[in-house]
Amino acid sequence: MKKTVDVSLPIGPMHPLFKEPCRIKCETRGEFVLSAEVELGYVKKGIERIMRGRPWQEVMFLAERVCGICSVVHNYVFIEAVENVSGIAPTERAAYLRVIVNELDRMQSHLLANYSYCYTIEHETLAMYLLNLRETVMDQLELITGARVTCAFIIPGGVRCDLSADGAASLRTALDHIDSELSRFVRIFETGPLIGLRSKGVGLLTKEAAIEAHAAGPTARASGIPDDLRNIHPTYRLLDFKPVIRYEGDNYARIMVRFEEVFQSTGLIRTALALMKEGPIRGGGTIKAGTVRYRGEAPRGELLYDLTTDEHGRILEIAIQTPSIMNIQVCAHAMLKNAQSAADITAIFISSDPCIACTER
Amino acid sequence: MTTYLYEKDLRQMKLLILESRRHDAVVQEIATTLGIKRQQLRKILIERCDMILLENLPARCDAARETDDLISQSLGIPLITQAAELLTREEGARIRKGVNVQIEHGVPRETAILEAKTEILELIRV
Amino acid sequence: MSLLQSLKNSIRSRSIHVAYVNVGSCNGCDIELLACLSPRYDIEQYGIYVHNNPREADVLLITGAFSPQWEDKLKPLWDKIPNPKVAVAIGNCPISGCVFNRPETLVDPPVSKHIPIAAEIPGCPPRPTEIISTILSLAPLIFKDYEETNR
Ligand code: SF4
Repeated sequence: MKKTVDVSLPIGPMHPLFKEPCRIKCETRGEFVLSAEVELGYVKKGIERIMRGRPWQEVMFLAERVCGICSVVHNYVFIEAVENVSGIAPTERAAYLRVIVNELDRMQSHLLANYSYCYTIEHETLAMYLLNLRETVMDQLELITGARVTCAFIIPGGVRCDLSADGAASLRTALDHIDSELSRFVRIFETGPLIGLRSKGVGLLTKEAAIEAHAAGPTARASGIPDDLRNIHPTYRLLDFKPVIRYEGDNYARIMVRFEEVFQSTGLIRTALALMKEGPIRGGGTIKAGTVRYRGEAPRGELLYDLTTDEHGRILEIAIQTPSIMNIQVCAHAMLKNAQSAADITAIFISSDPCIACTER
Repeated sequence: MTTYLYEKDLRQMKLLILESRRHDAVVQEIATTLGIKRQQLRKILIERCDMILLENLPARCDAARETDDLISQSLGIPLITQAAELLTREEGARIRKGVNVQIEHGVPRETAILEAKTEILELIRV
Repeated sequence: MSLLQSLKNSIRSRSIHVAYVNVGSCNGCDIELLACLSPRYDIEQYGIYVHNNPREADVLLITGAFSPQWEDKLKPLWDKIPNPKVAVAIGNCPISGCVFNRPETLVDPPVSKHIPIAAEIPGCPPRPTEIISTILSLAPLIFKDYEETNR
């Protein structure tokens, strides 16, 4: 890219606040950030190249390992894409179980994102509260699926294991606990003067810039774009889903959207538990040849799987477009531009919930 | 030819990004509208864009495609200006207007578009 | 054992500084590492501090299969850490490459090709408790009587 000034401030690849390696090169004049560019490649594994020509049974596990934070949704969207090709529908109970696990995953991902943000603006107390609350969610996830991360819970036609009555009861208790604890934490976040100073009006993202870069998820919804693919998902429609939208477009709005979505997720899980009836959890089916472009809503936004299968169930061609790509790009090129202080760079970057592992695959 | 003292040469890694299926499709599309080889466009993109913009190219193109202006479409102006940021929007608008003026003066449409394409190529070539 | 050495031993056993580096993981191991910080596991009660600054670290935790950008960066990073130091590989990725070690891949595992690894924690990902117990059981082996044995 063309340089306008000769001073560039590199941040990363190893930075105390980044969970993952990536390098931001900011051109600055004094403290004022003129532009930023992102250098990637530190976690490039070439997953799409490995996936090519392999049976879906293997690709399923690879898809999960595109991103460890939101592993369930990669599993979910990949399996639904394959089901879409071959005309398989999950059984009714399995469809609800999928939603429950997906929402638990979304909750832990959002809590982790907000933890990182609070840690970045040096509010360590709130950060630790949130991280501890996340463990409650992880326990429930483990109770249902048998693993904390990369649980491979969703399979074509259904899910791997059932939720017992005991499990449902403990899930309900955990949800109540999360609701009561989190409302306390949100109050801390809303009223904290330090948090307000470092978050309100920082890292502004206009609606136009968000649309241009195809921003997705909480980043877009905090700028007033009402896109949420759960709106058009058949199971979520039964649960009476409505997206959370805010209009400020700053760091504060992005974090608040995530908090509100956690509350929404607990509500969705409760509704799903109430609507769920006893029944089989596996339907079965065979994978057929075909091409599909399938979208789903990941915690960070729109996730797209573009794949071609053959009649033996092998994946011939695949392309994955993860939400972090859009969000990091819009963050680097629109939010960081004109940031008032170099100290805000990390806070702005983390507020867009970047996931480098997704971005590079 | 740049020599790298501290920074690493990223061209190989940028090429890896462009080899993915969706990226390849959009690069092919822009290359065909401009009438150049895919390799040439790849080279231009690698020189001009940073890595995250390259990663986001397909999504940005999806967002930029929604225009009903036929001439802009046949020149690929939204893709070049809005999505890939190879030209600024003002330059894009200026070229678009130039084509209109030429057509009004009786130059055949094809010739005008061809000339505009050459102009774009001259501007984006590194 | 000299007085100085026993003083060093007792101080070192309660202050282990940790840095972590992600050389191409899927994030699964990184978030399990982060979970160690949470009050439930409370890594600091054992005297382990996560600073993520190689200059003051004793233990380097490595996650991920080795991706090409790190080729010229991991070794200098390892050299920056003052002695005594250990590197611990977390998860299957730095050990074998996990699912990514297939034809056409870009990664280059194992990490032990590039820097010496003292301990490995297999699992995809390992549990936070396993990570903590490994650090705790490894640290005395390396740091105890370091000056006297390495004179
Ligand atoms: S070992 Fe498994 S969870 Fe850990 S980084 Fe590798 S693939 Fe991800």
